[in-house]
Amino acid sequence: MTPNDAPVMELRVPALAEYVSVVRLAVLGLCGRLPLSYNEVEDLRLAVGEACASSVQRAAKADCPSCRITVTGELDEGCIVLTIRDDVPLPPETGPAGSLDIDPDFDDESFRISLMQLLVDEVGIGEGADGGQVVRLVKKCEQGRDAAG
Amino acid sequence: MELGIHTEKRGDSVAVVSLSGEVDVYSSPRVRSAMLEQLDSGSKYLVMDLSKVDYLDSSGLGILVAGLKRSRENGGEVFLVNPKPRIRHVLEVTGLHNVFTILGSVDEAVAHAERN
Repeated sequence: MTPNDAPVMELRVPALAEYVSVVRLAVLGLCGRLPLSYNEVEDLRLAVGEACASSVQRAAKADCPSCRITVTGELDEGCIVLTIRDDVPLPPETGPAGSLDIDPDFDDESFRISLMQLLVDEVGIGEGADGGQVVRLVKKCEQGRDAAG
Repeated sequence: MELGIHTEKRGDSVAVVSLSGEVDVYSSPRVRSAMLEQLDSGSKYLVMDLSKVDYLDSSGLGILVAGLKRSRENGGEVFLVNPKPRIRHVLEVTGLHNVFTILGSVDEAVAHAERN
């Protein structure tokens, strides 16, 4: 049994759009070991994809093909905690942000954050020690919800 | 699963864009190009067949919204057709099910467009 303080999954991929599906696949495999329903797994997979997409968009804007995304998965008291950190420099004037350049009126980064908040139980977004963005996603598993009442 | 796109004109003002597979940050630019191509070629109404879409993220949703806005500016509309329950769930949690007209079949959506 893995101790609670050790990640059960760690994955590092280039911050490129074609690798986001690799992360989603890994999360699917991890969630398959947990007491989560199909919709809960899909919610988590989508939320992770959104966090990675944010990194990818910022890496593209920063023209940083060598930037990386590191995803860790941990089990913590009935919760699955996924941390998505990147080493993409944050623009100092805007903080964590990205843009799909879809439409000048469409705030895609706000939409992305709202979607993550709708999909998982907790979302934390901040700046990492190495200057990139860190997104922490928490999803309560069935046992955790039972314990919480 | 790789994204598949098939487009078909139905008369002068309606185009059917059928998608399959995953629409995400990697593949969504292709969806955008397909939608814009149809809108630029005179189709006011786009029928987006989502019945074979397995995954749709905010990139894809944003492109659908941008397409809808563009279409409405030209007096048209974007109809979504038969999304799988999982995709419908994403549309519902984001509230976009209230923004788009969602119909059960391509033929129904084409008829809807032709009545407008």
